[in-house]
Amino acid sequence: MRRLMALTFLIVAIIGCRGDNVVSPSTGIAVGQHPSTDADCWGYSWQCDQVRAGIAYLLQHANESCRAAGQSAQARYDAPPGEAGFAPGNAGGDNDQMYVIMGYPASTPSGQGATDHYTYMQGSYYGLSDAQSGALIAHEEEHQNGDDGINHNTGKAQALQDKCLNNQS
Amino acid sequence: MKRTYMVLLICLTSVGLNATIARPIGAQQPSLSQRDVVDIADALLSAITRPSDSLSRVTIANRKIVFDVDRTLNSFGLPNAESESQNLKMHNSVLHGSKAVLDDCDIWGARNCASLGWKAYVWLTPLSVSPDSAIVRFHIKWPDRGRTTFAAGSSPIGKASLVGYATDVRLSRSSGTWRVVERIRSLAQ
Repeated sequence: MRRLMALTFLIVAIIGCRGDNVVSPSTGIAVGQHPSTDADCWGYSWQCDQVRAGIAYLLQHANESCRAAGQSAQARYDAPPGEAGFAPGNAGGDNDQMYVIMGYPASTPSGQGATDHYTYMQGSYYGLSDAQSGALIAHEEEHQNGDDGINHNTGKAQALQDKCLNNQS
Repeated sequence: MKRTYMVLLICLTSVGLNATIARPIGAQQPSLSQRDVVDIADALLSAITRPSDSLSRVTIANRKIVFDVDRTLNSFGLPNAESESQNLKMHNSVLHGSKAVLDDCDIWGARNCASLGWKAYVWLTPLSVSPDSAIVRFHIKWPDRGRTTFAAGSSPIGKASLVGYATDVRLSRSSGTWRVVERIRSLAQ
């Protein structure tokens, strides 16, 4: 009986102790579990796989702007931790899109400000095609390089997403 | 064996603490009333969705705001608003609606997003709440209709891409009135 109880405790403890929540660099956003065994991966292995596939798609794109977005995303991916990168995100809400964090002071409500250089992957980033992943990464790169603010008034982020979604554009 | 039990005890205590700390705010006892939440929403709408500001090149005055009051109240751990409740009247001119307005929208520009039309959909989620201060995430989504020109009184035709952002805002209450203190960060999508 004591052995059975000890075994039960052990299983519960192992499950509980695995649940380490992590916080995204510089944003303080809780990003959920970080169970990857891939030392180079910043999140779930499928998230890293999908970002890498999206970047690879962009780098081979027929359109020069999409290739450029792929190059800047690759540089972001390769940046030293703490400076820039991709990270799992939990912005709440519908959990259906990628986000990029854009910090800006209250005096500039247009959101045209410096970002924290990270692009955050939301939960249902899972299951996208390489083209969809690449298109979303290109959208976020437009935000990252300051060509479109949070109000999307230049339309450049969405336009690049649309362009990169089709590999023949 | 004693050492094993000690480790187990520490782990279990940690699990318990984790569960307590990580509990979603909506599951905690609400520390704000429905009136408080609606007042916070009013303060945020006034500060963030000014009529002259544009979202994807269309002014907010033209778009109109659909505010999801029930989703917002629920996220604060509060029950739905009673319909036509006089107690929950808002100062800002908003339409009331639910997430269903997004049902025919997507981020790929493949659907018409006709239910939303030109409107922007807004809801709030709490990040940190006390009786006199709060950090709240303001969510807003709208259809980007590309080069389609806004025309008052007519429903937009054609496909749209759903875009949006969220912004974290610190508020405080003094003399019973909620005021925006600062925007902390935003999340463009």
